[in-house]
Amino acid sequence: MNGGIVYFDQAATSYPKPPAVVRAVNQALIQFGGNPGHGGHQMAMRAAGQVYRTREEAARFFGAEPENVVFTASCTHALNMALKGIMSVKGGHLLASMYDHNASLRPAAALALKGVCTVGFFPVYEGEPQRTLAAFRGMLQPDTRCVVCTHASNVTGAVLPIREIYEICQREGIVFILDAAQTAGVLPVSLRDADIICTAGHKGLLGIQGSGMMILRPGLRLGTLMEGGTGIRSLERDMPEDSPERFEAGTLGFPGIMALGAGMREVRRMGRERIYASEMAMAGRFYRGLCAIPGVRVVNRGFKMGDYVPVVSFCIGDRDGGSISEQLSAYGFMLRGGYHCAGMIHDLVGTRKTGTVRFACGRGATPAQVDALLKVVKKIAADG
Amino acid sequence: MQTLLTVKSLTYAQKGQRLLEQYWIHASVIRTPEQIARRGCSYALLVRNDSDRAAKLLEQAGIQVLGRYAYPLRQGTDR
Repeated sequence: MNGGIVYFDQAATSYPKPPAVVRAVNQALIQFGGNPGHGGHQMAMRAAGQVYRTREEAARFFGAEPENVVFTASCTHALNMALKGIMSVKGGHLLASMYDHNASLRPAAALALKGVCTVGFFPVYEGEPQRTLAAFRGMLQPDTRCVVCTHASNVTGAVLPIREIYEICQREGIVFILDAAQTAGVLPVSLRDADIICTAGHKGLLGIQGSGMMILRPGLRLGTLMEGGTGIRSLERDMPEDSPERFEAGTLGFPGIMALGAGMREVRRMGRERIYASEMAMAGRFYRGLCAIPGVRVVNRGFKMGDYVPVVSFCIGDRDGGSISEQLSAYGFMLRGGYHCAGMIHDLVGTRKTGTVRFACGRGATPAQVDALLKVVKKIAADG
Repeated sequence: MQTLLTVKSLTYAQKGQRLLEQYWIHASVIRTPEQIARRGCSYALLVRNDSDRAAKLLEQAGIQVLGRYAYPLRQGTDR
């Protein structure tokens, strides 16, 4: 543990990890050890049993079938797999939100650059869902085949109107990919909200870094991002047709998968709603305190339960977010500063020149820690 | 004698095993012997009794049974 350190960067990765998650990693390495799905001996089969157990847990979590839970190395990996898998046939139009992470924006841009499809980016008007939806509708084209959208911004925590977006996509026969990196484990997310859910395993789901998932609606056909050994049909040159093996070429990240299973069970045990309420209480306290500090600009356009996840971004004058983050780090507060790998949102919220400092709290944050941070922010703002 | 029910993948074999458990049908997931697999590595469910019912339940749940093979009782497979 890091004595004296206060961690408010849960949007990047959750810390600390529950003991059950740490135990699961140890078990994977010590007790199981075999290569799941690659071999029929006892150790391989027992490891495969643990992988399937995590698939079942994820299936319950997201309202999916276990075979449609695909393990990936990260949410970025899952989004690349989903976007490039859906757009594997040349032609058509892809639409992404400007609030999206580069995990979606860059694969979309790469597809356009390679001439696979045309790409558009629709603006998000934080706090004005109807205006956002109107902008979204206005950018749909007759040949739009796929829409990708973040569930909640990793910069401001704003929740996007994804249910309405999915309804429109369903009506138009468009595949909807949801980036749930910031919401899985915090807000309800299921296959009622999207055709494909992509998520990280190491954030709200409490697993370890190097884990993620792509969760598919039954019957959806996707091209592959990677080909290789799947442990089945080894004499054939083509990848298997069926999920998840079709998308899981190579050795799986077994310790990460076991940890992810333990993390999801921990979320279930604690109760997702309870986690969300307690984290929002601390983030709300920070938001309100921040609004009262002269010289601080809060980037979020509000902070209501249901409309936000526990993430708050702010700026101090025209100083760059990275340098403020370094100052806070020297005081023992871990907050991320900069652009947060989100390339387009800063044009909409007016932070292109400075980036932001991002507060993202998790389980265990206390009012005293939040108040101590506010005190330091106030001092930094006053010092100029 | 046991029956080997071959399915498309390890994941379907595992899903099938869970399903059959609910009906008190004991099934083990094993790697399909090469002479049966033909297309390379694959996995199957080894069922001791009720193989007709097991195959029917699997098919009803959308788990395609690719083949059925009599499988001799052998030490180590009767788990």
